[in-house]
Amino acid sequence: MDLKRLLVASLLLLPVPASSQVNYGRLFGRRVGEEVVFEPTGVEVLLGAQDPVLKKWYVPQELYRIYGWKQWEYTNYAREHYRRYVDIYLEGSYYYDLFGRLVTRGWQVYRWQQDQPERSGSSISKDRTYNNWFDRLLIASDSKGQYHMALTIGDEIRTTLTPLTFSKPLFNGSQFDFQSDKYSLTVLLSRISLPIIGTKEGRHMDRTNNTNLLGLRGTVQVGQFLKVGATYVNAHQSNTLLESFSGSPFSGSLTTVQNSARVSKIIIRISDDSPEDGEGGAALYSWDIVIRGRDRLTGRMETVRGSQIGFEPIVEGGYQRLGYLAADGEETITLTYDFTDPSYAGPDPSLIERVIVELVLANDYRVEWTSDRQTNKAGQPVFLLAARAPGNVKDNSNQRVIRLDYGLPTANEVYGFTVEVDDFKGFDLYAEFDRNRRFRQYPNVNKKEHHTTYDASEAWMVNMSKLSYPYFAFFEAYSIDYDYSTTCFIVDDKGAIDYEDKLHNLYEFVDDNDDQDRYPDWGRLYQRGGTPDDAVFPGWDENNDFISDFNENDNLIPDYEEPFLRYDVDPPEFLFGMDMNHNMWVDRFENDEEPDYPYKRDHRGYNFYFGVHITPDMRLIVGHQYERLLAERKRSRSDYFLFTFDRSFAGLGRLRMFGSFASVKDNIPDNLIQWVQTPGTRGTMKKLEDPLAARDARIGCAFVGFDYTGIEGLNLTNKLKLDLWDQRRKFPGLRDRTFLGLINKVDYTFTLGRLKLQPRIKNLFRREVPVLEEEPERKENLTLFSAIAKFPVLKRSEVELGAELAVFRQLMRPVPPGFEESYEELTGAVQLTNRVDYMGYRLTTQIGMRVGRKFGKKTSVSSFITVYAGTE
Amino acid sequence: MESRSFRISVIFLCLVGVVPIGRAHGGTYVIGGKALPWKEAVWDEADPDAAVGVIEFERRPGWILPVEIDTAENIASKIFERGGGVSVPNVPLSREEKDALVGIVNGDPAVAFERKSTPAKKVNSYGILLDIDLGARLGVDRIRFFPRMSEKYPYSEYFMRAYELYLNDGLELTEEGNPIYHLAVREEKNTEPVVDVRFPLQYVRYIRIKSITEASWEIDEVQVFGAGFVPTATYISKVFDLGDAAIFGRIWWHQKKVGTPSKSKVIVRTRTGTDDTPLVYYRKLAWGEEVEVSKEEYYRLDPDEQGEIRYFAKDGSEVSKKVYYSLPPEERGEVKYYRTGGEVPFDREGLPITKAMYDTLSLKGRIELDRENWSSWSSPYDYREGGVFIVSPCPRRYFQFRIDFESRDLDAAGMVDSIAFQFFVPPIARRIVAEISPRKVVAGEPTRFTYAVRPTIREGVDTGFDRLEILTPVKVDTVEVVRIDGDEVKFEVVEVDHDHFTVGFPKVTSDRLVEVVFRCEVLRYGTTFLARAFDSAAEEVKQPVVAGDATSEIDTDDISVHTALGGALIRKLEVRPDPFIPGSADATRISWDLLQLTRPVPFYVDIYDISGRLVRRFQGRGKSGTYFKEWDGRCGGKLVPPGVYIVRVRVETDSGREEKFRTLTLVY
Repeated sequence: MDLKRLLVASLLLLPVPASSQVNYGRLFGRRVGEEVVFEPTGVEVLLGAQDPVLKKWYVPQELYRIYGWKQWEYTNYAREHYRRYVDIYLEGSYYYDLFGRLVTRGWQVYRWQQDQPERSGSSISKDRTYNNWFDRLLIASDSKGQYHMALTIGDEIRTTLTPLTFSKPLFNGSQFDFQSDKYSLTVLLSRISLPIIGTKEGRHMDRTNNTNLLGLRGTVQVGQFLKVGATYVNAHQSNTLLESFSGSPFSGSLTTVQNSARVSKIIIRISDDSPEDGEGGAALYSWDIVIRGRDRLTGRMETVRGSQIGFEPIVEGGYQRLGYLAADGEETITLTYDFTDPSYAGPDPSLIERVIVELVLANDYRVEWTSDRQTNKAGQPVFLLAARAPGNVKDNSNQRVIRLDYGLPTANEVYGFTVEVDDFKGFDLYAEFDRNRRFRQYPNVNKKEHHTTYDASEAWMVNMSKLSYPYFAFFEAYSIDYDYSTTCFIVDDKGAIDYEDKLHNLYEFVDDNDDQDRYPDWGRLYQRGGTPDDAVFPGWDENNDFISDFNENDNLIPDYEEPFLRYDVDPPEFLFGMDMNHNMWVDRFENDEEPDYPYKRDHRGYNFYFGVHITPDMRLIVGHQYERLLAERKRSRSDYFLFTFDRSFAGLGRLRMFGSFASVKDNIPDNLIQWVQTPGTRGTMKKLEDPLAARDARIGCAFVGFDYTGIEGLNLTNKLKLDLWDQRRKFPGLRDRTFLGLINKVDYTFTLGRLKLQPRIKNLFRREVPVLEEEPERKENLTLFSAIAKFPVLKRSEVELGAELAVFRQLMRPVPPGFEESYEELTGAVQLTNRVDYMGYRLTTQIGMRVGRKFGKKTSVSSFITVYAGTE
Repeated sequence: MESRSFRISVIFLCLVGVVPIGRAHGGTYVIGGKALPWKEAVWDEADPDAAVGVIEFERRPGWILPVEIDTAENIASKIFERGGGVSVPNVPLSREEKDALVGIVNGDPAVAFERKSTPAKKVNSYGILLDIDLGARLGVDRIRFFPRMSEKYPYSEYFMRAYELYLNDGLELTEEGNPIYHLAVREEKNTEPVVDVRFPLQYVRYIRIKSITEASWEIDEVQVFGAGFVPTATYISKVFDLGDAAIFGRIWWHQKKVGTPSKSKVIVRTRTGTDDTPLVYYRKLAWGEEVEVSKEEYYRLDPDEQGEIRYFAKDGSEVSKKVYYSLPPEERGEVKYYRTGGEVPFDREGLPITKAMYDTLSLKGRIELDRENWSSWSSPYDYREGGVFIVSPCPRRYFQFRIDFESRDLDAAGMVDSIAFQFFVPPIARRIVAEISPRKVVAGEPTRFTYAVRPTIREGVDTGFDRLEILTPVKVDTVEVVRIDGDEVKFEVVEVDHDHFTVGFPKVTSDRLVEVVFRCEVLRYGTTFLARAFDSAAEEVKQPVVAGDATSEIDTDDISVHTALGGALIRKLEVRPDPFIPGSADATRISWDLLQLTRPVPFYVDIYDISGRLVRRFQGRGKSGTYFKEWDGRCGGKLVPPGVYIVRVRVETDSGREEKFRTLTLVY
């Protein structure tokens, strides 16, 4: 629409008012009855302006009405000063809807449009107002009675459909929600290959090749207790040059780059799926290739076998056994089918529509494949997983034909249903089943529609609990296939995919966010500049301040090592919690690099327990757990018993007791990446290998804690932690583990006039026999004697004096290498604190000094002036 | 082309005896030990994927082994040779700074990487990361770094006053493939110009030095010291020219292990070819295509050499450049561009390329493995006393081997004293192809096979053969007939064993079809009937057959036999005699076939009475084959009552359990 022409026409049609009074409301549009409407009308014929003269026809300008300027008239601003033009951007533009009706005068904040078939047919624009005014979040909503709806458009929306299908702390796209008493519906839409981050200046981003995401979830309440739901998530490559309804949009289409050249080479790599055992890897008996394409001479469609036309792959690697090739341990076998080889006599490679590779395989195989069209940025082939053998078969008993239909990834889809029961006769239930399909298409430059194939996998889970006080029970069962995937490839701005670039070319439906903060743990495009969360559980961060709870002052020294602070902070080894996967880490603090499904991929198992509240503060639980890996021969089985007691005694204190015993056989590795802080560092992420310490073990854990608060000002705390891992069978490198930790501490606070005194004593005893034989035993005792005196000076200041004597006794003889010898350490500290309100802030100024001397070693002095500006 | 002098010298110096065997001559190459020095037999063109720069030749005379780091050697000085590098990932560097950065590992005392502020220019010196990739995982226990401290460059006060030193072992990488560093040392108050950090010996690949000081600093050199063996090393031999297509015999070598034997491996592979280099060289053309050139031509190509430009008049006469440009355009002829190796190629339309195209030519193209004339590296050979047969294709004229050393411990490594391989010239035949029929059979059923062999024999050159040794999955039932060119001939079964048989027939000295008909059982899919042909006058020289089209009568072109997949593992469970009358026979024999299994699995033979009570159990282990157990009708030494009993055979495989039942009647 030519806006200027519309304005001119409108001006000419209107009588010039006598005064320069501005009336914006009547400037545009036309009167229809009592209303002024604003539909565009086009330019009209101006009969009154048909004047047969030769001189230039000066059109009354747009702002004549407002400013009274005439282009042909002399301008003199002596009396009436010049007024500059109003910035049209500040006033906004005119926008019309699909039907030509004026929507508003203002700003187009957000628009996503896709037109096909058209080059650069997908367009998203986010105006700078989206970023600056609305802070990258727009919400349109409505409700009537029980019916509510909202459309949310944002760069960082916390969105979950179900934990197995879609869950992201930072979803960039649009989310439509509807909810009534019985029904709910959510629709997610996003161009995930380039959703645009609003932090950048408003831009119009047009693309021909895109990856689009559609997410749907609806639930229906059936009766009082039952709720059923369905979920569908699909991300697919989209090429706007193609017609919209060619083929199934949900299986995606090849991008222009994916379909820009023929496949010349297909490479299959076969390896040992459990290389660590060095035997019983893949056994490859025979191979063949089936090619469907047009005959070079006749042009007819034909299907030929490589074995028929003498088209054999180049076979490399593998141990030659009688009748088969074996890939044991690190050895791999590669089969390279080269369509450019002069011996190839099948259909013209440019006219091939489908390629199937058939392999006769046995034992513990892992098959990956690539082609010269499935590469990284450097053009090197990138192998993607094609098949894995279930279990770890080594005796050839699983010999079979594997048929692999080659193609480039075009879409990933997950669909499933959920059933929820809420308090039906004391039962709660959540069940979910999902099916994942990963689509591929074989590229062919001469075709727009391509042969589509897919791999499918499944995941399901059931959680059921029953409470009938004092009894309770819980049951969970689950299974997630090893290749269940909520990851899809996204195209770059040219429509290409680097198949090994996780940062730029992978999109996750379910993010890894083990610390459950607002940032995913892995680096992906369009989330915080692609940077991963670099502080997943920085130590153990229960208060979510992103600082380790063991180093709250963030000073390179763990608080349990630091003078004075170590009275209150106990080392992490003295904590306890459930470790159901027996990798010696408390489950709730574990961090890995997997999507946050409720259960791990490739695992199938169940767990159930029964419990009873013997008293309101005492519980007994007995349970059984079984789990196995689907693609490997690994199992975990345990029978466990749990006892907890937690009671506060009035006027006396609080007693806590915890005891557990488990009989475990577990050879499933649960490797982790954990935040580890050693003294002198701020800590770092470290890969930790599960030592498989419970391959056949009895595990006993006990904790007893008593806090005495019976006397005012006196705090008496006693904690005992005991871990026993009894190895029932001897495994190389493993031994029985023992950890005994005992903490006793007492402090008493009293005042002498204006002086406030707190003497403290803490004793910490540790005896540890690590489960790995290579790690030395520990036996040591640390006693801390300290006193803190505080007295006020002036009106808003106080002085604190402290002294601490640490007596460390190394009880191991001889002292293992790297361990500390016995020592005594005396630390003195003085600190002046002033608190004053300053410019609206509470200013806390501290000046102090700490002097420490480890007897026999050098003295360390630390002095400081620190000012904190607080709001409370 | 491997040098002829090398070939001759090897043949004369290292052939340990050239022994006439029939008409063939057998020879043995010995490399290493006291024979041909390893260094003289090493390939001068490294395989890009092989760690060839870390083989130790000198330390133990006659032996090769992975390099053991000399504790006094600065490992950092060979970073670039190993494919490593130095970088500063968090600051953009100028070209001069990048050059200076390289200088911190090249031993040049004049070049240093500086972060020094001057009154005119403020340079950030805090938080700078210096990342060093050693190019390989090496055992490291000491790192030093220091500024320039010579008389000419007296900058000792510009040492790094506070730093953090991080290490990574090359294996611990993020999901994106970046090293996860671990802090080894943090020093906030460094007072030593020469930082000398020692730590326990460990594998290190990546080193990060982080400055945590605002003070200006420079680093002249970073030195890295360590000990232990490198974890991977590869020796690739030269191409041995055997003078003519040869058959290969055995390969054997003498090896030893240092440290824990299970923590190191020596892997030997071979490959053979029909021309003198396993590589193909390409020359790039301007429009992106490449043409194959010889190795000599490839290495003669010099991108900097512009070569000659010759000018021709329209009549074809060559003229000088000056004359050429003085001619009117219509009288000018071609301008031809030359480089070493000949005229620059024509373009796609066959016209001489333009000068602009000529100037864009970058001559050296790809170097790829010659898959047409060379085999791939063979499967690794087992280390066995007396050696093992070479499995690379033969007869071939050219031969090459490689030895890969792998260690999982700094103190462990394999070492090889010498390696030897046998060859025989001339071969039995230029080529012997074989195929078998039928290709699809029923597992466990005796089948009549026809094994067809067609040699290609150079008459008067190749020796021919009169024996054929065929490998079988079980002992052959019968050898029914041998035909040569369709005519039955007199034959003898020279040898029969549980896994092969040998037949003798009139000597074949031309391209005649030999067919052997025999009966045999096949127990699993993919059973391959390998065969070797030889002359009874020289039994040591055996030439393996290759699968191919031996005759148009058989269309399998293969010597591998297939059975149905996914069938039962237990077949042919039989009880004989049944009914069994104790006294009439000592025992009844329970027999069955196990199919498909390539390694022994536990099996159980249980005999139950009709009430389900177990009266007898046999157990054992077995893979594909025929098995039997004999039962005398007793339980605990006493005869069980007469009646019907149930026999169950059960195998426990990695995929699960399979069992088969049969009844047995006991009568007395």
